[in-house]
Amino acid sequence: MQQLSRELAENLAALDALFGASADYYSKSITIYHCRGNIVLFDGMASLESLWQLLLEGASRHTLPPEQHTGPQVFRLILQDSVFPAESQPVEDMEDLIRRLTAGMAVLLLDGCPQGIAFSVQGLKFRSVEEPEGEGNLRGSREGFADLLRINLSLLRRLIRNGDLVQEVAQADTPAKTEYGVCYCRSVADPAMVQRVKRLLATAKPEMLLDSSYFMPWLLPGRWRLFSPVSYTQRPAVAAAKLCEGRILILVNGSPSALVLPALFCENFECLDDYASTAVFSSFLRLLKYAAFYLTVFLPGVFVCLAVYLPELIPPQLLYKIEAAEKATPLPLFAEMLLVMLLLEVIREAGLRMPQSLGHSVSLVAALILGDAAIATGLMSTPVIFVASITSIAVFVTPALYESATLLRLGVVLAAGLAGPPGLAAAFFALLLALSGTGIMGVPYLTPHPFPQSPLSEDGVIRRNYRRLSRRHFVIWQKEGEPKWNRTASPCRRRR
Amino acid sequence: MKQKTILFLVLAGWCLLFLRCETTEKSMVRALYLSRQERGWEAALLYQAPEAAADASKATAALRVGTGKGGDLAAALSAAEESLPQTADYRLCDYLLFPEDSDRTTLADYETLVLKDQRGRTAARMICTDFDLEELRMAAEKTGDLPDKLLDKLKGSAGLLPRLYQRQETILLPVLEIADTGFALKDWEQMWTADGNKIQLEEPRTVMFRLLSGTGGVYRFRLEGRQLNIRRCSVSVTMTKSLVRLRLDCQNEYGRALPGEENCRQLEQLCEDTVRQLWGQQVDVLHLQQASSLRYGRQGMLSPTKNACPRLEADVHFY
Amino acid sequence: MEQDRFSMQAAALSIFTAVAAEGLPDGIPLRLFLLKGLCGAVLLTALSAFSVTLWQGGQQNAFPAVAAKTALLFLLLAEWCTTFARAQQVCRREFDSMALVGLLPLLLWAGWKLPPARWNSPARVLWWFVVLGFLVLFAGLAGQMQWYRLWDMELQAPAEPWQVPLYGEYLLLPLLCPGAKLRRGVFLPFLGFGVQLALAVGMTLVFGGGYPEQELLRAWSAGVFSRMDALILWVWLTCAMFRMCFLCGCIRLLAGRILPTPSGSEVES
Repeated sequence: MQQLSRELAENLAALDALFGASADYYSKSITIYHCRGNIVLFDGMASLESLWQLLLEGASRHTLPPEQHTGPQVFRLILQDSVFPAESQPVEDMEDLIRRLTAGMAVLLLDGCPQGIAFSVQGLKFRSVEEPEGEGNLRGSREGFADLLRINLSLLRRLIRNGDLVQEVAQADTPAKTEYGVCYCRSVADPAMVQRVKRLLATAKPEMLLDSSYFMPWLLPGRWRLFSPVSYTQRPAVAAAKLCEGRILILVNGSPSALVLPALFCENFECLDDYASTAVFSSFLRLLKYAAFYLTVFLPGVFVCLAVYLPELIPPQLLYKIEAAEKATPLPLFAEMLLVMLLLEVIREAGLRMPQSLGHSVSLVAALILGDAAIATGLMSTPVIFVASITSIAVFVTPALYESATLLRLGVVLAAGLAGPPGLAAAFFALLLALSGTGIMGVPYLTPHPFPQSPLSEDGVIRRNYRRLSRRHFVIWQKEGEPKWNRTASPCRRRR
Repeated sequence: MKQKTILFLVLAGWCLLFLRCETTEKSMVRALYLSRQERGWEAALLYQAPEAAADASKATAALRVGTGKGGDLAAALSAAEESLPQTADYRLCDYLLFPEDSDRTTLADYETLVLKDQRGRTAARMICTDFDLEELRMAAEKTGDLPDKLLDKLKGSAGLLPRLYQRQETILLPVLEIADTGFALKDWEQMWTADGNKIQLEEPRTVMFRLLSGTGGVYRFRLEGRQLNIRRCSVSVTMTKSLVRLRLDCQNEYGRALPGEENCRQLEQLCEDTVRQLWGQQVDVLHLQQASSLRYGRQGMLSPTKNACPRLEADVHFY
Repeated sequence: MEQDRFSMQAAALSIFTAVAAEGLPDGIPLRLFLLKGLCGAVLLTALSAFSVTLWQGGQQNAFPAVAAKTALLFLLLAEWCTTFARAQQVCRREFDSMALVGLLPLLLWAGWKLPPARWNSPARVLWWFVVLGFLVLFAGLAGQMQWYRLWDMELQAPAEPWQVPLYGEYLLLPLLCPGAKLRRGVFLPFLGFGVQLALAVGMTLVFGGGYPEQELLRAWSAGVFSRMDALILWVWLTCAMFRMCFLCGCIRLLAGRILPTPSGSEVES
C-alpha cells in the first residue's frame, strides 16, 4: 500500500502516472494559508460548483492568519480548527485517495503533509428513484431502488425509522473494488447467520461485481440448483418488510436489485398488493398464481402425455381435433411442442434485448409467423400453439420463478414425451425433491410452507384478515412458531 | 472424472433404451356391434377417423364403421380391427350393440374377452338393435354421416342403457332402429330377467320401471288427459309383514302445472300394476328381497320365486 | 439425527401403496372380509407394538436381533421387488410403456443417496393426491352404487386360506420414524384394512362381487369424461415410485444397523 509522500510533487506525479491519460482527471494548484496545495477530483463525479462554494463560504467566515504555515499546520487548521466541512477521516494512502476520488469526493493535497483532506462535493449523474419495471403493483409505494448504494441505503433508512436497522458497507474483493452493503435488523436477524453472510461476502472473490446475484455461488455453493432460496427486489418497501422479518439484505453499488435471504417458496406467490387488498381477493389471486405456476410447468407435458398415451382422459370432442391436427403436421406431437416452446423462448428473449423502436414490428411478425403462417403451411397445429401460448403467458404471473419454470417445463415435456406417464410421474417427483431439498442457512425452502403441512395456514395459499395476521409477528428464523432466542425489545414487532 | 462421465453415459444409454416417441395415430373405437351367427361371429367397430387439419376448427369427428367376421369373437374383432386404418384403441369404447334376438351368452362371451384383453370395459352401456350388420352397412353407404348420428343417439340415450356388468341382473334394454332421419328408439323395450327370460315391455311400464329403479333422466308419462314429465323422483319403501307402502315424491317439470288428484291416482295404479306384473315374472324391481332380509332376517325374506306379491299401496306426491 | 428420518406420513403412504396393489381375496363376501380383515388388523397391530418394544429394548447386537434384522432386510427386498413388478405391470398394461425400467437406476440412486427427511414433503403432497383421487373415484362411481348389491346371496367363502398381509414398515417403525409418535404408528395396519375395506365396499356396491379390482376403476364415468382410471392409476404409480425409493432408504437404514460403517453416520445431504 503506497503511503502519501510529504512532497506534493511526488504525490502529483504518482497521480499523473495513474490518471494523467484520463480526460476526467482534474488537478488544480492552489495556495491556501500561504501553503501550496492541489485539489484533485474526477470531473463529472465531483461538483466543482459545490467545491468552490464550499471553499468561498469557508474563506469568507475565517480570517486569514498573517504568518505562513507549513503543510501539516494548514492540514490541522483546515481539518480541526476551521469551518470547512471536510471529511473527518483524512486520506492516508494512495489506495484511499483513489477510493475517495472514485466516490466523487475532491481531495486537497498539501505540500509537506503526508495526508490529504477529502471534501464531499459529489455531483454524480445517476438514474433517479423511479418505479421498477419488473415489479408491478396497484397499491403501495412506487419507489424503486436506484443504482447508487448510498441512495438505496437512505431509502431503507427512511422506511425503518428506528435504531434497529444496521447497514454495513464494505468493498468487495474485486479489481474494481465495488462497494456492497449488508442490511439487517439487529433485533430479529440471527446474529450467527449475519456473521456468516458477512464472512462469506468478505471472502468472495468475484471477477466482477455488477449485481447482488453475483454473490450467489459463494452464498450457496453447489453444482446445480433448480430453485434458489433467495429472492430479489427493487422496491424499498418490500425490502423493508423483509428486513423486519429478520432477513438479510445485500445491495451492490451500481445495481438496483437487492438480494434477500433466506426466502421461502410461498413468497414467490405474494406481492406488495397482497396486504393492501381484501383478504378474499388476495387469497383468490394467490390461488390463481399457484395454479398459473403449476400450469406453466406441467401443462405442455401433461397435454403431450394425455394426447399420446392417455387419450381417454381428454373429452372426445377435443380429442379428435388433436388427432386431426397431428395428422396434418409432419412432426410428432412431442417434437412439435418442444419446437413451439423453444420458438416462444427465442421471441421472448428477442423482445427483451431488442431496441424498443423495433419491438412492435418484431412482435407483429412473430405473431403472424407463428399464429397464422405456420398453421397455414401445416408446420404447426392450433392445439399445440394454444397450449404453448398459455404456458408462456402464465409464467409471467410469477416472474421470480421464470427460470425454474422454464427449465422444469422443458424437462417435463421431455420426460412426458419420451417416457409417458412414468416419465411424468418421475418429473413430478423431481420437482418435489428439488423443492424439499432446497434451503439456506437452516431455513428450508418449503417452510413454513402452508401446503401440504397446513393448507389453511393464516398467510399461506390463502390469507387471513391483516388485523389477525398482525397479532403474530412472523420472523424467518422461527421454528414451529417459537422464537429462536429471546427478543424482548424488538422495535419491528407489532403490538399484540 | 472419466469414470463419472462413463457412468453417466451408461446410465443415459440405459434410460434411452426404454424410451420412445409415440404418436396419437390410433383408431379410437367408440362403439362395438356384436352378432353371433350360426357359424361364428360378426363384429363392427364404430371408430373415429378425423381428416388431417392443422387448424383444429376445421376438423370433424368423421366416424366410420369397420366390420369383420370370424369363427369366434376374438377372431371377428381382430378381423374388424384389420379393416381400420390405424391400430385400434378401445379406451373410449363405451357402447355395446347387439341384435335383439341375442342372448346372455353373447354378453358373457364379450365380458370374458373384455376381462382378458381389455377390448372395451365392463361398464360399457348396452343396447339392442332391430337391424343387423348388413343393414347397418347399407344404410351407412347411403347416408355418409350415419355413424355420427348413431353415436349421437347412443350418447343421448346413455342414461337409459344398462351396463355390461349388470348382465346377470334384471336389465331393461331399449331397442334401436334405423329411421329416416337417423336412429330412433322403439316404443317397447326388452327386459332380460335374472333367470334368463326375455319380456317385452311397453310404455309406460318401461318408464315406471326406470323410475322405480332410479335410472334415466326425465320420466315422461302419457296419462289420460295430459303428458306428465317428472324430473326427479325419490322412492321410499316402508315395509311391514303384511303391507308394502310405496311413497313417490316427484319433482314436476318447471313451467308446467302440478298434476291433479286424478293424475296421481293413475300413477299410483300404474306403479302398483307394474310392481305386481314384474313380481309375477320374478322381477323384484323394489328389491323387497334384500329389504325384507335386512329387516326380518332369512326367515322373513320375501322372494319373487317363492312368495306371492305382497300387498302394495302406492302414494304419489308432486312438488 | 432423529429429525433426519422418515415421517409417519411417509410410512403410511408406503403401506397404502402396497395395500392398494395387493387387492382383495377373490370372491370373498363383504361381511366375511370385514370380520377377517378386522382380526388381521388387530393381530398386526399387536405385532407392530411388540416389535416397537423389542427395538426399544437392549441387546441390539445380540445374534437373535441381528438375525431378525437380516430377515427383515430380505422382507424389504422382497417387497421392493413386488412393488416394482406391480408398477411395471401397470405401466405395460395401462400405459404400454417400459419407461419404468429405464428410470430404475434414477429411482435406486435417489432412494439410496437422498436422506430420509427429503421424502417427507413429497409424501405429504402425494397424500393430497391420494385424497383427491378417492374423491374423483367416488364422484364417478356414486351413481352406479346400489345398496341392494350388499346382500348378494350367491357368493360363498373362498376355498383358499386367509392371508394377512405383513409389511416391513409394521416392524421397523422405531428405526424409520424415531421421532414420530409410535403410539399412533402401531395402528398402521388399520390403515391397510381401511383401504381394503373401502375397495371391497366399492366393488360390492357397484358390481356385487366377482370382478377384478381394476374394473372398479374402469367403471368410472361422469359427464364428458368417459374414463378416469388412468389418472387414478397414475397417482398410484407415483406412489409406487415413492415406495420404491422409500424402501431403498429403509434397506439402507437397516443395513446400517446390521453392518455399521466405520463413521457410523448417514450420507450427508
